[in-house]
Amino acid sequence: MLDLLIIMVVLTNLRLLATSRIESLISWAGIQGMVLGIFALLSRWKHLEPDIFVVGLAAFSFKGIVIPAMLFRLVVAVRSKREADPYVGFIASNLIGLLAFVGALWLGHRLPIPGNDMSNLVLPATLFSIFSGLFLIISRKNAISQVIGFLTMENGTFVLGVGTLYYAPFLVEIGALLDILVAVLVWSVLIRYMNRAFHGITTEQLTKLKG
Amino acid sequence: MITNLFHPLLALIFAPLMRGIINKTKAFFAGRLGPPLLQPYYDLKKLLKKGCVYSKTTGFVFVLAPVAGVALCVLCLLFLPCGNLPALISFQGDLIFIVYLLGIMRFLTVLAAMDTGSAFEGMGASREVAFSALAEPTMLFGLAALARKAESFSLTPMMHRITAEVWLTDAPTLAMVIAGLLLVFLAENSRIPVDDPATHLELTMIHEVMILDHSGVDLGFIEYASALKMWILGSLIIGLAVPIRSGIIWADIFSVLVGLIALAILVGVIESIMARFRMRLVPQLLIGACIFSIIGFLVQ
Repeated sequence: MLDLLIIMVVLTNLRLLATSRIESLISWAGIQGMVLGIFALLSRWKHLEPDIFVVGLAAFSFKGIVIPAMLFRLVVAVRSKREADPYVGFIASNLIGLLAFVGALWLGHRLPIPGNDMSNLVLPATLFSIFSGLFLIISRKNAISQVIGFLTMENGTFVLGVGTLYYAPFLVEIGALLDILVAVLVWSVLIRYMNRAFHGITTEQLTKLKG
Repeated sequence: MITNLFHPLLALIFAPLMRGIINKTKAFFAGRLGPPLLQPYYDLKKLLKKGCVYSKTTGFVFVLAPVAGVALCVLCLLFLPCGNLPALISFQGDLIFIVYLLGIMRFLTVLAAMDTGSAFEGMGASREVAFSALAEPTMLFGLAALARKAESFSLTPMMHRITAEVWLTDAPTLAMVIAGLLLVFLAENSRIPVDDPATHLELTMIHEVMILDHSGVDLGFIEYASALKMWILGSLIIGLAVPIRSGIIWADIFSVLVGLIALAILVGVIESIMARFRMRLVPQLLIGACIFSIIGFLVQ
């Protein structure tokens, strides 16, 4: 069951690499957040401590509902519908993603985490999420896609954190969740300003800023 | 030995029924009464009574393709187990053999379409080949994932080893392979969202274009072969998705039949709630299917 959830995280990453609509990007990032929340809850279901319960519930609601809702409002405000022409096309992105997953699996098997009693897919999924996030950031022009890329990266570290939660302190996870909440808040303000200044939110225009 | 004949016989008798069930499900969703459940059988009976019309440009390939199609499908059924029902003949590597039997069948259909000399059918043939080139890796990767899991390159032992316990330990692999195979099933049988079997609009057809010039008995053979092909791909999926390996022959037959009926209903539901994709999106869908089965192959 846990393996299936991890695979769902991997598949949502590939889906994020393949889509051009901003709404679809945000919804899939939200679905990924919900999957992660459920993953956190189910991972220690038999001995569900209060702190893990809070982490799971917070991840589900922040990553799955609050942040996507904020981003949807941002999309309405800046009227940006699509990733017009990315640096790397969508099918190519998916193939690169698949290669990256092969690499992540290979690396994951070579780097066993001490005390990781969860699943041998945790580390590959983490590495793959971080890679897809970074790839989204460098290969897309729309500022909101880049925010999604950052969220995906953070989701990757969340998989690792939950995968080894016996040993990772609870405060770190909650702290990271609050951090990305604030980060998204700051980004939505910045992107609104960007939209006002450049009449669009492609990051190419940011080069005009140099004085 | 006699039990080995059950699966081919079931397929030969019940294959057209799957279409009937799909049409009935679609009719139910549309609020219609729909054609009778046995309509595909009536159609076959009608077509087999008619004579054929051959254009002067066609040669022997055009006559050969429909007959060879049915023959290849029957041959394929001899090598195909379903769940606990064993195949009549099995050897190491028969899973690749089956994929290529279906490939030969497609090749002959394409040749027959080109043989008519119609540009329109050539276009359909080109589409069919382009899309099945993408569907074939999905199927091979899916079967390779199963071969890796079951440690056998032969379908009969493979299907025996995929039991409910395997589902408990390796659900991700099986789920990914089934997802990939289901998309291939829809594409290869020219169902929505890849192709619409009900339309005869020139711009959108893939498979139906190629058989426009066939008539009478030939058309009947083609329809029967495509029903058998649907059964072949469907029974691969059902063999994985319904892990009932009771060993009691009637229970196994029952589980296979119920599984295939459920698959037909699922296809009917998909066709009722989805629209056909634009032609441009079909390769993306098939690459998605390929990614499913590659992930199934990798995650073990």
